Amino acid sequence: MSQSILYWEARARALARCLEADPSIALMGETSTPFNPEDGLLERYPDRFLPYPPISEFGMLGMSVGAAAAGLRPCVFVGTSTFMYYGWSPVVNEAPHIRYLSGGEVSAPVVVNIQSGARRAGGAQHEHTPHAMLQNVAGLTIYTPATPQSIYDVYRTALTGDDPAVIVDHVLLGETSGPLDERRPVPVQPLEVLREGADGIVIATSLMSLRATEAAERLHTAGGPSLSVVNVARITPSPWRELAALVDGHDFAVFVDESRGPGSPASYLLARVAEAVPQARLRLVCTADAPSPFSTALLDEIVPTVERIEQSLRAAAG
Amino acid sequence: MNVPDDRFQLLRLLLSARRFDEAVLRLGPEIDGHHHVSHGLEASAAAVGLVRREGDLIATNFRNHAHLICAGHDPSVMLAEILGRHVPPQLGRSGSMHLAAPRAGVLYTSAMVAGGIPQSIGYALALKRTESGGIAFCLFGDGAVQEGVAHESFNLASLWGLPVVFLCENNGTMDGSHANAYQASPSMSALAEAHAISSSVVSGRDPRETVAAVREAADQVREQSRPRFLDVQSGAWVGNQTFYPTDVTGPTDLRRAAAPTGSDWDDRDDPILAEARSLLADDVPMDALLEVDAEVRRRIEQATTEALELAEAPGSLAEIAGAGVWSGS
Repeated sequence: MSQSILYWEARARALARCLEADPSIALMGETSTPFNPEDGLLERYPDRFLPYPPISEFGMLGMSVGAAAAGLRPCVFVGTSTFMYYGWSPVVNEAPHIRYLSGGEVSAPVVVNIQSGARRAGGAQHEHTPHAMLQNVAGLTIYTPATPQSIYDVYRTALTGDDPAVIVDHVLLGETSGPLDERRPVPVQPLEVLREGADGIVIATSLMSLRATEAAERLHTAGGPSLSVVNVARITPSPWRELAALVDGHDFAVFVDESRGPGSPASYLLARVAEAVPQARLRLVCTADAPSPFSTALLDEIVPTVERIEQSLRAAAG
Repeated sequence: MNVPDDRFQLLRLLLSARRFDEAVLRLGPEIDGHHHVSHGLEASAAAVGLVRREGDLIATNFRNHAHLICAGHDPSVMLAEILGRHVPPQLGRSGSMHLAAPRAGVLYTSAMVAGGIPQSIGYALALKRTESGGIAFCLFGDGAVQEGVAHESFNLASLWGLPVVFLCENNGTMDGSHANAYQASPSMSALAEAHAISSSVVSGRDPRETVAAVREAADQVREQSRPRFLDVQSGAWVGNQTFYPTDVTGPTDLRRAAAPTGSDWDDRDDPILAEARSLLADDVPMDALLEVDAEVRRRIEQATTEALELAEAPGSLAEIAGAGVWSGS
């Protein structure tokens, strides 16, 4: 049984469910819940929050790693993704090693939420996609959900799992909507099929999956091929084997990610699929190698817009 | 087996740390990679070992051997790990700088300078929120205070009333106007007090003074749920001034406590000899001290033998290297 719900409402609903189920969860961060203090969680669960901390990302994230190792389940809202660069060390060089170095005796399952991607007119310092850098860290789980269903399942997975995780929330997803089935089992499936088609397949992350779906619809409506679209809701540990199995049988695959191409999840998945499915034609759509310009007209020249994705799909279809 | 004499509790801990690190120095050529010994800093390690209670947590640093020994970790398992043997639980994946002993209150060692400081306030937060009664001990060198995150953590701990003893193992060089060669502030305590954390200066050269200060600080932290800062000042052991530690002062000899030798290390800086002098002043005969030492040395020698005999984990090297990175992997 499904109902349509906004993305941010699904996120708040997942948080409430997790808070009810596990008294060790503590929410910390720059706002009570990302961008939606009106969701009521702060009023309903005041003793579960450490809201409005000092502007000390390194200290806060380091503290949350220690708290997680000591048995709390901290969920830290960093806000704009680039703020996490101040607190990079605990996220990339402390939490992910603790399970490995202790031989599994201790783990630090801290959950970090970042608001990522081009918000439009945010400019060079507020529109990064740090998941491209984070995916290089062994032991860290990176989620890139695209729909209310996937953000709901991702939160439930991360807050019941045993690994440190970064939930990459695209800043433009909050007001999108979709169906939500609250009885879906966790863990979340890393590959979420958003559209089915026999001719080719588009593999994308986060907001790019919605743009890819729109591009595929346009192409099909215009008499073009019918394409599958898959959102990679978890980029690490990498689901590339499952993905290669999905690509096998399609003539071509297009990989879309909002990161700059060097080291993006799309680049890595493309390389793995190229090895595993050598007969498929593959194409890559990423943001051009430039900082995000303030002007939205300029921004649209570098990010994967629906139009640019559609062009790539046409080229791939031949 | 004789019941250990309480008078020797402190000396025994200090010697355990020292004799362990001397074994590490002897094994030096067989150890791959960097490691650090705690010569001269044993008083703070022993103090935390004596004062900590079950359920307290300790955040250590890359110079962690003495902290772990004094907290009660098994020296044979530690040595096996330092030698890179694939012995559970750490499997040779940790080495010296990431040693952990959860049952002794050390969940993990962050070897990054100041890495343990924010984690210690996380320990304190978890202990406070679960109303466990436990507190955190955070041990770091004076160099760590130069990292910005130290100050973020002091502020957070003070602002939110987190139960943690910040224990600065300060072997920096003071010149009277600076806290050390790198710190413009006149004292370490001034830096803590800037964050409204009360601080004391303690001589780490005097183990009894250090134990008393750590006990008092821990009691206050437990009672008031506020952080405390201790600037534990010690001498810099000259053997650490090389890339790899070198035993330039030679094996510790308690007989040097009997009369001044003319060496600053013996007469002023070595906390082990200082405690030996205190015991001699309490009219304990030198032979009794040497007996305690012999017992500690036997234990460490036995641990050295055992470290080479402990069974390594089954499975291929690839499995040991790659397993358990993520849960279920």
